[in-house]
Amino acid sequence: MRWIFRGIKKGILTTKYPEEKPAYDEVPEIGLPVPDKCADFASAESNCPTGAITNAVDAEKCIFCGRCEDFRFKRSRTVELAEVRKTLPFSKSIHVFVADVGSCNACNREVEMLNNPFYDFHRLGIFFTPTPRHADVLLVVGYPVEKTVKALLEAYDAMPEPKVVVAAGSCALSGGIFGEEGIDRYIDVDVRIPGCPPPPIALLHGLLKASGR
Amino acid sequence: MISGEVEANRISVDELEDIAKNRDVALTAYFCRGDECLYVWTDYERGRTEFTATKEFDLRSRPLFHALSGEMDAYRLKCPGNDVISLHYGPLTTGLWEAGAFEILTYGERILNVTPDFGYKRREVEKKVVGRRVEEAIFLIERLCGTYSVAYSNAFCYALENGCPERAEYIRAIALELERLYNHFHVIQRLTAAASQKVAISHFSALVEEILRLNAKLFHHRYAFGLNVPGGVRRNVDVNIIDKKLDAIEKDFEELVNILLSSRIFIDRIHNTATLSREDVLKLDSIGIAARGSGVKRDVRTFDSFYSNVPYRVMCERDGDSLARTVVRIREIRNSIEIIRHLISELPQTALKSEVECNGFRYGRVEAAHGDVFVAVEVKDGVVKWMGIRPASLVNYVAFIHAVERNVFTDFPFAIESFGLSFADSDR
Ligand code: SF4
Ligand code: SF4
Repeated sequence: MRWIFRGIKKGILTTKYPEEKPAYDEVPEIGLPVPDKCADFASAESNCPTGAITNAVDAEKCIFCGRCEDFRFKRSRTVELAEVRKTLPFSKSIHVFVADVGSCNACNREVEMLNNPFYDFHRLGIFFTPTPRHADVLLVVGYPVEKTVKALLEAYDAMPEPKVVVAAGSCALSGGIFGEEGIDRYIDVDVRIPGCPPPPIALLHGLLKASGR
Repeated sequence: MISGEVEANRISVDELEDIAKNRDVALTAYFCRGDECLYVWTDYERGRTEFTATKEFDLRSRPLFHALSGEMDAYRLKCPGNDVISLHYGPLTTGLWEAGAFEILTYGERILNVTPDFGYKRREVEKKVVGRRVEEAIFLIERLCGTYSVAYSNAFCYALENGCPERAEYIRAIALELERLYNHFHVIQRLTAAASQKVAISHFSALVEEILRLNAKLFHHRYAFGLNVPGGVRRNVDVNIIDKKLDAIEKDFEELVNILLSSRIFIDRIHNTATLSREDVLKLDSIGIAARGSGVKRDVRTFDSFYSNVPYRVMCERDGDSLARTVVRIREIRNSIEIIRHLISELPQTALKSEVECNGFRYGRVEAAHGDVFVAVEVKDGVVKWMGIRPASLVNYVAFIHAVERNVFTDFPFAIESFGLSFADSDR
């Protein structure tokens, strides 16, 4: 009972996203780095640990380490979404099976954070499911470790049609800091969410896109 | 900071045996480095880290040794007998939230034996850093376990440096305490989740989110990746933001803990669950929360000179069950808030970074939220030649295996969550 009173006292914390743009608190300067007018491209390029900087910044390779900030790059306040190839034919209620294939624990912690009252993803009709049999979306995070990828493919096969694969985090997309290749080698990815780790708002954005919203 | 030269702290087996005669010496780490074996021992009373190269010293009686050398099979029950059900739980389950698996032997009610099955997250960080420059190696080390990134990168930096600017040290300590806060909140959240206290989950996960947002504003990263650089820190902090937020968080937390600890349903689930006795801790060389919950004062901050000017107190409980570990966490949360307040009020005005000359074979240790992490690194002209990491989870998994035996099956989540272990950490 006391819990409930406390809840009422605390008021509403939930983000206004997606009806409104994310607030500053939700996404402060943690986005993709963008070059200043007088940015030192050459130095930034040679110092970037993943080779994300060429003429522009590759969101999928960037590990958001902040090193290029030493060379007049500024962190943006936007949520990036690289690419959407396929969406689900229905959008009201989607069930997500989370598959961690070797993350550093930050990516899956951010996925877990979708549950908290600040994001409350149930209000948008998104739910986690403990079994791939009920899942419409396979959310893959982490650097593909061979032993786990086997389990991932089994989970994918067990999912009913229609299904989409969402990959989140630079590890899954490009191998990030750990390697040269991401999950693409093993499975076709439909929605790509960059970040290291992608903040919950970015995950929300990606999952909504996967359901065609 | 706790760091030093490996060679300067090397002792012989006889000397070690001498020390071990009248004092309790814990096995901390074991590494194979080329054809040499390196054993690390800690004398928590005197605050010393010693290195030996022996194979002989009483190792069969050290159950931890198997985990350190990667033989988890040694903890498996050999002949469980008939009627025993064997379960393989993992690697992809929403229950664990992580890619990891447990081999569980049970009669259906009592747990006979649990062994974690590693290898599902092996990214081989220790191998991948070799040959990289230290500035770049740090990004890999932060991502060894994202939720303890500050602890690891601090330990790595302290291992490299021979002193850093004071302000940088303060900022690192603030980041470390913030990390401790959100991990402790998160453990309590998971415990309430195991007890299906839906409203409590929301409240505590809101606290986790508050700290992560604070991190994002301070360090441009929710988990403070990229904060540390060899020789100092990359970013300055805005003291005012922390001050305001901290008051609100403290107030919320006190209210929540009050309600939580008066909930009989919750307390009943963690009371007498997964008990670890004082003798177990000494035998299993457990560290961190697991040791402190059983009344053994093991916290590397106690012999860190930096913390002697800070209102830091080592928190201990005696009972050794999940409740005791939770109470230690609650008291550490209060202490962490106090420490952060002190640090921001005394933040010295010095440079943020200094040049480091990276050469030699050194070690660094930092107390993370779950236990102390140990990093040894050999560097030549700023390039990593060899690296050994002893994560805290690996050590406390052994404690968990022992503590969870003979518990009922439904206590499993309460047991595992109270230790706050992570597969990413031990599987590096
Ligand atoms: S933040 Fe790091 S990884 Fe991303 S572009 Fe800058 S230097 Fe490269
Ligand atoms: S993308 Fe970054 S945060 Fe996510 S698992 Fe990889 S290293 Fe960790």
